[in-house]
Amino acid sequence: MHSQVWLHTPIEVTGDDVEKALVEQCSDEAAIARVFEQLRGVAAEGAAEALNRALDIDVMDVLAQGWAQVPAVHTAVQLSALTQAPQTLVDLDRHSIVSTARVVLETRVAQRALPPLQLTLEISADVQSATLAAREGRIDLVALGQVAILAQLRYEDILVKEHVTGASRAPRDPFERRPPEFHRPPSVDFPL
Amino acid sequence: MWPRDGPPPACAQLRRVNLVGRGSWPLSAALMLGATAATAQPLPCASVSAEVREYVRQRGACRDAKVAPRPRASTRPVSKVSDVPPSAHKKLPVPNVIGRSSADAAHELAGFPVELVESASARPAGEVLAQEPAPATFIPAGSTVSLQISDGSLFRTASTDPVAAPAAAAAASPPVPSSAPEATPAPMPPEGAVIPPGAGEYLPSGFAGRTTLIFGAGAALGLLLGALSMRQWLLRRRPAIGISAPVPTLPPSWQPADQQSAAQPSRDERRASSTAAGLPGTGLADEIQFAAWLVPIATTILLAPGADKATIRNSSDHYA
Repeated sequence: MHSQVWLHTPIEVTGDDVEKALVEQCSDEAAIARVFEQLRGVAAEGAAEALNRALDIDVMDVLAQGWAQVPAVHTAVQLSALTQAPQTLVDLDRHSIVSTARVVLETRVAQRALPPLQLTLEISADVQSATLAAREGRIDLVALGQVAILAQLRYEDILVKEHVTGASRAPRDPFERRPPEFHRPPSVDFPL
Repeated sequence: MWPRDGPPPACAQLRRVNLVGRGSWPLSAALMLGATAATAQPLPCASVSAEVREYVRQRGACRDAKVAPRPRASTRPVSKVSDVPPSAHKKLPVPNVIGRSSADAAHELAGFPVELVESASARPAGEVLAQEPAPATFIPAGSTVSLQISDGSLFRTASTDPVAAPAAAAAASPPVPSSAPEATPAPMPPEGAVIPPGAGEYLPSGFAGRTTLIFGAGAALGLLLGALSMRQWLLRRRPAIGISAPVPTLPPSWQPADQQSAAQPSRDERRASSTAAGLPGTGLADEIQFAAWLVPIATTILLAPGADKATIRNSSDHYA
């Protein structure tokens, strides 16, 4: 799926954020405490880069997982998948979508795996309005109102990183030719 | 020197004593010979009655017994130089003569029979090494005092050092006022007192040895510095004389950037790896690997009140 929603500023953690999480992990994991000095500095920045790659998520996926739980959207998607009915549009007023994910950072020092750092990413999206299209078992975003994104990265109950940004629907070229149907991956996979 | 027709002045005696104390045995012996040759041969003090012996000795009219000849054995009694009738029962303190010459000790111990015992020592010949009874001990007059003197057999430094002997002689001649009473015995230094060189008749033992040691250390230091300078000069002239020395090479990171090979890691990379590892130069940071991934847990949607009913319409309506 092409990215249809993009964040104004990406979620990025820094080496300091990683060190902060590692400090908290040291109290729980003695193995981390022993090599903590080696994990600081540039090593922590390397860990932050790995985390940022994992946090480079498509916000559309997060939002679609929430939209799919709306009964009207779910029904429309089912109908579009089972029948050759024309494309159905669903308008959603203001709503909030909260997505929780686990971020796992695995560290290996000299080919020896350390206890993974497990963080919790919670993304809260406050959507003013959205217009969705159900077609062939997929959800397409037709229109998106103002969206406020609050991303919080936690180690247990300790807030490691908080990021506030907005999201917008990616501009679409009106003259862009849509690829053939068999080349287009499904937008959202959810059980029918 | 001093007038040949009279007793040697006090300054001459002091000088002689000091020279003996500092180990310049040949020079002091010459002074003693000169003194004895210039004066008439006095009577032995032992032959004078005890009542007038001190007065006669102070006048220089009598002489104490000569020091026994150089011993051949290591430690053996040599001679009795004086004798006091045992009738005297008055107790007198024994002066401290340790470190002095045997002649001076015999002079100091007037009133006590002195027994000299020579022993091999590194001290100058004739220097008193020990005395029995101990100094400041009150003993009856006429008691025998045994002195252990050095035979100088192990003394080499001061007597063979051509520099230390004149220096010692010069330092051993303190100015003595001419108004000093003649033949007044020098005050005995208290036990354990430290008298600086040249301040009086007493000089600490080993002074000449220390001087020689200082000169020797200076000479050795000079030789060492000279050798180092010669080595540097030889190293600079290495190709000419064929001496090879390893030429140190700078680490690659110290060399200019244009001289570093492309295969060498950059300075920033080396610094980064070292800093990350916390162990400079180990490169352990390269062995630290990270992997991160995301695992979705749950997604919930909260619809605002009144918006729980989504509007569903056909696409034709939307485009219309």
